[in-house]
Amino acid sequence: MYQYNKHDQQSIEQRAAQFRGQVERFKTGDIDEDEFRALRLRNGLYYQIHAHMLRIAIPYGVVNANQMRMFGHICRTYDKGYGHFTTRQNLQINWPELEDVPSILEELATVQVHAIQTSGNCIRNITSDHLAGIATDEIEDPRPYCEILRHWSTFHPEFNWLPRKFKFAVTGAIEDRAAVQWHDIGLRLVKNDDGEVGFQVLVGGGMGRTPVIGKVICEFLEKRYIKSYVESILRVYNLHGRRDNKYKARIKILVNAMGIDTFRQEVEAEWELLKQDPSLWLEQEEIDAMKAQFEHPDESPKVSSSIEGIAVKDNNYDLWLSRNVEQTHVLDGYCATFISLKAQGEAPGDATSEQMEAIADIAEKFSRSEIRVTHEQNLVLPYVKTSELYALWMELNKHELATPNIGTLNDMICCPGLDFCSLANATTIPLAAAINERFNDLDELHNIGNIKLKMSGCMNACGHHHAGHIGILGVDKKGKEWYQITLGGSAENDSALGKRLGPAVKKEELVGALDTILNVYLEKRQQDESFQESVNRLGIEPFKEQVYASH
Amino acid sequence: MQVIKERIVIDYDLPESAIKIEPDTDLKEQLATLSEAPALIFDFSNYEEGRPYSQTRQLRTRFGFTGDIVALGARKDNVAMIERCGANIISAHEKYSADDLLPFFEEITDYYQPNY
Repeated sequence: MYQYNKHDQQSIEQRAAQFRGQVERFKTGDIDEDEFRALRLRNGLYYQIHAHMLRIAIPYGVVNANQMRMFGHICRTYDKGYGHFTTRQNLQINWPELEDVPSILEELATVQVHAIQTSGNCIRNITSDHLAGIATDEIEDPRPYCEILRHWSTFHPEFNWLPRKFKFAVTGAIEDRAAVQWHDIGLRLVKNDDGEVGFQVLVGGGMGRTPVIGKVICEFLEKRYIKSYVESILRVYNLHGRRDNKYKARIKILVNAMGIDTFRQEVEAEWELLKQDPSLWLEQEEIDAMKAQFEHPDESPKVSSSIEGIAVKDNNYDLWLSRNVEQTHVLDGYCATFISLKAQGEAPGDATSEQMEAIADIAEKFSRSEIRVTHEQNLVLPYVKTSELYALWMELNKHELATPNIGTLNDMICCPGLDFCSLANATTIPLAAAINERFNDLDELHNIGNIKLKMSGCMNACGHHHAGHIGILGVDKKGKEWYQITLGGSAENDSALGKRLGPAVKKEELVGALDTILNVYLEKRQQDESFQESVNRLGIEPFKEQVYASH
Repeated sequence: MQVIKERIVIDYDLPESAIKIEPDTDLKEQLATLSEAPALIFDFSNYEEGRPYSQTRQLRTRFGFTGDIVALGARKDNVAMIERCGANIISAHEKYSADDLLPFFEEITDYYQPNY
């Protein structure tokens, strides 16, 4: 993975020192509440219902063992002994004291971690495919481009005060595991007819109150021009995006209002000059140097063994193998292993300090010291030798990290909800727990099969409910918590907006409604049909009829 | 008024024919007039208003403006960005003196954008 050079290191140390100065100046009244708000947000610090919340950047979800160990230390020393991995592949801690934050940033800087631009109306952490560099369906590894764009966007002087936040996602694979169609800018590495690799550029996707799937602004962009092209998009957005209403301020609203063709013309008018600036060219040498930072471990397993070759008689292990292990891997004898952060009774995405430290040790022992964070709020060990899977499973089990539910109903995306967030209308975590409790039978879960349940506590959609096969949205009705259900959404290649099932249901009816929906699926599915395939074939009517008949 | 020019505090008289640019001014439309002006004035005192950064940048690059770009209302935490985007005359926000801002140009010394 990418290692900082001395400039990278210096700039995050300077940023930590700068923030210490900003906190001190806020305390002495040199900067007022509103100014400080803008400044702290650009360093990932929110003020929520009960306390501050610090969002720590994990660029494109790649983290090493030392960094993970540091997260454990930070959560224990400055917080309540746990942290929350987010859908943007970041880590949030919910209870730091303002006075401690500069020290936290200084400690993070010692392991090449920061909180730069993890909130505020600026370019946020760039997300990517959690299987980047190891997936067999990849045209090219997206991580070098993510890092190049991380550099380009960090402390960009022109784009620190955008109309609204701005999110990039990059994928290099055929199968989209990074939800690129749901981002302000989505980049897909593609091959043209001449066999050259470049970018397909999408713009104006996003969830929130106005869910929109991104539109193609450029079918094929030469790599050389990636920085000048995105700079042009950002400039048009910065100048023309709405600033009078924060709910209309995202780039998706501007693109829809102008129309994609007019928007493209504006971008190209800016680009005409920018593309001629050699300092914005991405040359092959720079790409090669960056690629060298992401080379695979050179050590091949001495004995290459297949999963079937490991004779272990243990049902739980088998279940874990079938659910949590991605067997296809670019390196022979290796596989990728998921660590579910959706154990029974735990808030989705949460891990304790002890678990983080255990994961760091395990990654050192089993996965070339590398860990990935997925946008579905789980972790991945990307370089596990197939021959060591059983030993790994035993180790994970000791720390309650071997829950075999990846891709199942219980592997849900969930925002923090009313318990932590001042924007939320409804609780989500207690409901996630209730759903987990109802569907705690592994046989039943596995019978239901692959399904993406996504839940948000308000229409800002941090839990990606629009893109859930089953989406749940918390709404407030006269002070009571109700839940709107949608079916058929997706964040993958077939990206789609979920369709509303009908009127919202009461909190106490939600689990029952889910039960009914799943029963309709189980009754009507054909052979190996997944839930999503059934919904696509049947439409929402049969589900609707049953849910509202029984409630 | 006292301003910062090339990171030195100097006295500066705004030329009478200087033109104030609003965040929603379409520079392209008014380019003929603007390019004749000895100085263009941008107000940065609304902290979260990001358009002047792109406008000044556009003037210096796309539109090749060579006169003074005067930034009003600069504060400690945005003065470096204002300078990087093309303003060459920087006047401090009313709560600061020009001298107050001087130490804040170099809090971060190495940037990733060589073109700024």
